[in-house]
Amino acid sequence: MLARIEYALRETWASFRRNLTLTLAAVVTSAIALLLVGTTFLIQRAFENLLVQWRGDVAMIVFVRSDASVEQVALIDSTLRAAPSVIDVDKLRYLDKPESYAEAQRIFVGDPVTLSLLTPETIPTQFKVVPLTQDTNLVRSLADQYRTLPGVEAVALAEDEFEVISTLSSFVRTVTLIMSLVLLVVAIGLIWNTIRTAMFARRREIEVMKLVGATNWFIRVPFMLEGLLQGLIGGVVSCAGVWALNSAWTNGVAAFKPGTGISSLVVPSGYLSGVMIAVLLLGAAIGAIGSAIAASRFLDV
Amino acid sequence: MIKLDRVSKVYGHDTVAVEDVSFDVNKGEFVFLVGPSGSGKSTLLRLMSREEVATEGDVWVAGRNVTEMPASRVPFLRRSLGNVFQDYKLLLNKTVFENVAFALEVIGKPRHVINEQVPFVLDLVGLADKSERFPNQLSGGEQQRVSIARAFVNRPLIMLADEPTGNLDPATSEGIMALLHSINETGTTVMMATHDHRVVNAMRRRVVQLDRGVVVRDQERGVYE
Repeated sequence: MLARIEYALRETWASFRRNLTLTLAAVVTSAIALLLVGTTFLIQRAFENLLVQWRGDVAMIVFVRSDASVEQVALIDSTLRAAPSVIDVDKLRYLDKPESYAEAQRIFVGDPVTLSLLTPETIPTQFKVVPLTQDTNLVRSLADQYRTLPGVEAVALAEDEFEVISTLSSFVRTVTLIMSLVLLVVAIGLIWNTIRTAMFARRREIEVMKLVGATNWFIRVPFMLEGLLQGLIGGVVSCAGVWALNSAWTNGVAAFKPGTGISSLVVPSGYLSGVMIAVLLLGAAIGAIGSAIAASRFLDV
Repeated sequence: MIKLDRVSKVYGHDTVAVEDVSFDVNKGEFVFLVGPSGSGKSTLLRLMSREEVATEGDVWVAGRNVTEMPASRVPFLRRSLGNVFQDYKLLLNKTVFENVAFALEVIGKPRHVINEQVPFVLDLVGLADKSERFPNQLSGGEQQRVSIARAFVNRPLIMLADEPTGNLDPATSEGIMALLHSINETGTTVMMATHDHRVVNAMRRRVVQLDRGVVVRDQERGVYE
């Protein structure tokens, strides 16, 4: 058994060096493809921070002063429910202080200054309003009406703040997703071609191996390991890239003016490591797929 | 040891390589397959090592029905066979020692077995002092000896040799035949395809003659006609 492992590793390494140019091409392509995949995840997550308060077709948020009385909150609630033809009362949601505070943690993730000013006691609570109508003028006139209610701190409209970003987000998601898929397929193809070339270069050896009774798996394993290694190295490179991009962005965000929303576009480090692990596994997977196809189809040399 | 039972091999629709061939080979026998080029000698050998599958009939090798064997068992069949070819099929980037060791390595033999067996067979074929040479530093006869060493190192039950003297001059061929003879003496069954009159006539062993895919003669202690 030990002899077999030793053999497989030695052959993998030898072949890796022999086809350095092709190997590099395969590694670089997988790295770029995986980097794009990782970046897609990060961008998506960052936009989600920004859009978290508008999730679920919320178009209007009525912020309630943190010192508003229970009666004032009740009055706002009943006023909102008094327009059932315009507002979807079933979807009307009230976020109390702890809930609003938790949400703020995400929105101000890249803005520690603002975050430090907020406490669960001083934070405004909020009503999330889902309108039934597409008529934005009607929603706008309702908003003007709610601003005058006692206890209301502000009324925000999705149209004013995040409609553009929301559209932009889904556009960016579609484009990056398509590009990463295409690049992933290209990476698989390049790994496949590298392994195929490696097998062709060693066809005499493979012929002799088959002649003296080596099993197909014994012949295949070094080639499959080689492909796996290429994908994995691509994964490692893209991990470094993802990490560097994210650090540069996180540091850069601090330079923006607070309150512009840009500071929401930051990804928590736990999510970042998740993305890095996913990218690494995906790299190993494309390497395994590319080389498995090559090894099973080109063994008859 | 080898049994062919009404074996036919047809390529494509109508290219008949061998037709209705039957014969038995006992353990320890030395058999020449003779006949002109294209008479089906190589095809028969390839049927025995399962490089080809018979269209009809059964091929039995070392107690196994090769025709019906699943592909996953073929490597284990090949481990009981030693193959020798006219063109040696040596790996030019490996030394003599490495070429022979390769045959053991790829069937998973441990290093200490390799280090023990390879010098032994190299000594047997008379190349002990050339184990660090590369194939293209050797003469044709020496290269064929390496390939015989590689075929024999795993102690096969059967040696299949396809025109092993085809590229060699008479004197060198004699040496190769002496080597195959001594391998046969160890109890290994030898099956050799050839159209070399001299070696057949000098050895006087069993001769199976083929003509256009059909056995036309099967004779103990025969000569090449």
